[in-house]
Amino acid sequence: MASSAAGVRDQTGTAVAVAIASEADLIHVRQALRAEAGRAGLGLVDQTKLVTAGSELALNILRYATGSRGRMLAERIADDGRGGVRATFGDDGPGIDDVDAALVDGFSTAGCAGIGLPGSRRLVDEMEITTGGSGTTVVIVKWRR
Amino acid sequence: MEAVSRATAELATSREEVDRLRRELEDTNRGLIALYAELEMAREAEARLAAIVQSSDDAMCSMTTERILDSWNAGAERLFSYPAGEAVGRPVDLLVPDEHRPELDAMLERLRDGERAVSCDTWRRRRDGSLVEVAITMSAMRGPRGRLIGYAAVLHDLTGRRRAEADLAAAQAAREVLAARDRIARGIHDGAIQAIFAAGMRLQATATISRDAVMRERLEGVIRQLDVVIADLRSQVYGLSRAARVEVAQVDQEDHQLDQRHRREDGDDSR
Repeated sequence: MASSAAGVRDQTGTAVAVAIASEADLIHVRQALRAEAGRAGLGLVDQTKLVTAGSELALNILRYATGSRGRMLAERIADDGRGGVRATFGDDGPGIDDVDAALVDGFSTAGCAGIGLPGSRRLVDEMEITTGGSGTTVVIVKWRR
Repeated sequence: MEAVSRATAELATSREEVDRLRRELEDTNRGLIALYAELEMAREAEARLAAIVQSSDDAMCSMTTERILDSWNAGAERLFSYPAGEAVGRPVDLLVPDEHRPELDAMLERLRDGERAVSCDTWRRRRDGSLVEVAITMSAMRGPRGRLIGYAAVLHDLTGRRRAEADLAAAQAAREVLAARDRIARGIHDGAIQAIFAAGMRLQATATISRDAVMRERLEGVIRQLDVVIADLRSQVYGLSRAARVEVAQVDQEDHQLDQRHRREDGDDSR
């Protein structure tokens, strides 16, 4: 009925896709990540870390991405019998000028609290950033302890 | 009518949204509480570990992979006379005499290569420049996924142990000298005195059967002289072995006192 286009979830296998276009989508990102983390067997603390990191990355898309639009794909993964969740955040530009600077703790040049990237990195086990004029992709992974 | 049903639908959507937010808030709260509980547990564990390190009698310190000291306990302050504020932030080489630097390099390399802990007896330099012999055990500190994040060292002052070893060796040497003296005394008693005594007995027998009065007189004179020699030797031998026994007893007592003093000094060290 009232499923707004922005909040559409698409479950393919163990992957959940969430479109990010408005602040209401932050809730969708959080709920999707929490659900996947719970299914992957992550404890409450690790769930919260993953959700918080993902929420920050989604907020970054709303703040900085072209058209304040992007998407998240959350999927359960396994490595050597250990379960985890991988979340991929993508947008279509304009890209991050200086990734190293963006990863430094403190405050970003845009004047907003710059805890986004460095803080998120601290909360997850792995973070990988690919950026360019055509867009930025941030992949985070949280493993079950 | 249509407006009412539209408003009703909007209300339902808003209620759904509020419900989602409420649930999200609840989940976030629970997560924060769990996170805080874990943080507090980690802090307590850290405080307990810090207390163990701080109260240890041994010197404990750690350094970064770049050999910069980054922790320093009370034992280290006592051993090196550097307060923590003066040691932390400075290179570990501050404490290492030049000739022992290659040895430290080798230890660190073994730890980098994956050995869990390495130990050796070596020398370190105090704040006043004096050297101190220490037993040192170093281990690699590794973070998540085995990444090397630094080295930890425990150093035990060997000065007391070495002094006790030297005192013990000296006492043993003294005891050996006295035992040898005792053996000599017994040898003189069992060998020389018995031989002289036997010679005296034979002379006595000869004197008894001799008919020559002058010869008898002479023999008895020699026998008396031999008796004097035997008495003299006996008193000397007795003196020698008695002195030996007394001295051994004295050394034993000194040993005992030394032991007690060391124990007291060790007690002082541990304060």
